[in-house]
Amino acid sequence: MASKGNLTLKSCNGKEFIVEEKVAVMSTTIKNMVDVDDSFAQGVIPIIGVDGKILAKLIEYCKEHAEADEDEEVKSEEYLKKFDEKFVDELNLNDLYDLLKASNYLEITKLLNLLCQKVASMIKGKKPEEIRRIFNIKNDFTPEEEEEINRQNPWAF
Amino acid sequence: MTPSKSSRYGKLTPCDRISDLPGNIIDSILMCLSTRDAARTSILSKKWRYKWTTVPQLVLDDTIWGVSTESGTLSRKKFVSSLYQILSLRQGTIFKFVLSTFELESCQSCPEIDNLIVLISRSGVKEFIFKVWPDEYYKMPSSFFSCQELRQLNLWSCLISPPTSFKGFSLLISLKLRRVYISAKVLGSLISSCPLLEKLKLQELYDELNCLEIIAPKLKSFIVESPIKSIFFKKTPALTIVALVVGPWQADGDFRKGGNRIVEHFGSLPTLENMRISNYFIKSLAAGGIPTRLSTAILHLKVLKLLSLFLSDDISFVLCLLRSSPNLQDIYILVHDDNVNQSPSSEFLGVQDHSDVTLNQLREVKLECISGTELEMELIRLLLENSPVLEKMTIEPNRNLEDDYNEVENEILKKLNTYRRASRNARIIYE
Repeated sequence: MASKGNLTLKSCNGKEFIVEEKVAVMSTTIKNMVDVDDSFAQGVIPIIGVDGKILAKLIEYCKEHAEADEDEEVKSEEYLKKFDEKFVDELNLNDLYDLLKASNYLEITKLLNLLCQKVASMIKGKKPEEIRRIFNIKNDFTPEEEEEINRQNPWAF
Repeated sequence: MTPSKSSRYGKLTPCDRISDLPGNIIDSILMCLSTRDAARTSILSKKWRYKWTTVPQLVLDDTIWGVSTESGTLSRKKFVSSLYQILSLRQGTIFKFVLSTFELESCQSCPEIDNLIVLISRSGVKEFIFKVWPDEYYKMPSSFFSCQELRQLNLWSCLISPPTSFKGFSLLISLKLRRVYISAKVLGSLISSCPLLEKLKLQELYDELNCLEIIAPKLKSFIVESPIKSIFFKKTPALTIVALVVGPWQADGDFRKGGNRIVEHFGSLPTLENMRISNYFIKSLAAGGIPTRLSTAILHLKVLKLLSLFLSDDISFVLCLLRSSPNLQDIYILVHDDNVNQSPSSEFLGVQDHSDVTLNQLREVKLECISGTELEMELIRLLLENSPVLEKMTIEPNRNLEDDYNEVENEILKKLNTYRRASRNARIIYE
């Protein structure tokens, strides 16, 4: 049971995390749940479809940013930028997908934007074959279809 | 979220999960890319073919044309044909619209852009950025004025003349105009018809405006980098940041007739916290005469930056501001480097007692381009004597002095040593 000002979040594989409310409500979804129904604030909030490993990552991110929002002097913009860089650099592809979906579902907008930026940076300026290899995308076009796409957007290729 | 087999075992065929992410995530990813990079994802696989055509933004910039233009200019024909190729594939709402190219061949009128704006005006656009032809102007068509969902508007090189039926942009929050042709009257009424406006930036407007009247109840930040002879803050109860900056080369206004009255100005800025102002606007404010202090103190002013200051002309303004802003924390002064041969102001030197200046919150002062003139040194003395919690004063000398540099430096340092400091902890840094 979480003490006052704290919330208990439970992952889909049963792991429980006690976090400060200000950290948890970085997620708009959780904020709405707590605002609407008081029982959530007292009991355990189930985080559907997010496992313990990913939930721990989400909490790590939200903790840094919630503290920075509260006191700009303790955690400067520069510090946060470095934290963000390190945070996304350490992710493998599967964690990146899972975090993208989880931050989307939980509406942690700042994190979602950060992760989208990361994926975009992996696409930017690369050749189609390279992008396919990075993300395991299977090319299911026939050569004729590829030719057609090239003709449709001559300015892009 | 079930982890894919590859993540557990690593040896099975890795699977593609990016292609199946929810549509809004794919949109966000594509919106972080240039239009060219986004369009190139169409060839990845069938799932990706049309994803880029439905993102809720349309960014038409030099990434589309720039790469292949060899002559440096973008021909009208090429512009129009790629425009056609992009628009014929597009689908859905466009919240953000950007047209940005300085390379486009100039033309008196461009019906293709007119039509493009009609299309955009019907797409629920919230953010509108338009930068074409830095040295000419494009007349905004009437359809533009029907973009009622606009939150952010950023226009370069346009002529703005709304139709008489125009009722304003009721949701607009941020307005930036640069190198725009607009009359003071039209600009004033545009501002007052945007009731939610919080940010306003005016840069290098084509004409020197005579008199701009500002009615903007929510306005927080007002930045002007364009000569305007007088500005009347008629209703700006929320304004916290004001910057009025024009380089001396940009204008030579004649303020002897009319001009502003400083008292009227600052009385209507009760929440002002941060002000940056340059000589041009100081002259304009001073034209109506400067009192010893303002009738209403600027209680919230914390940061004051004075740029290209001519101390001999502007000293009474500076003193009036210092007397009227008891809560200043940070002062930055850049003296104009033409400042050396000034005559001392009788007002300043005649009245040696400045004990009516109390800067009880002042912590940091930076003075740049100091040549050691009598006025400068008196100002430094005044600041040191009346700032009990001053932590740091940085003085940067004028590097363009004709006289012997070392001699001037010695003089400044010698004088600095004789000044009484109200704050024991004040460090003086001479760079």
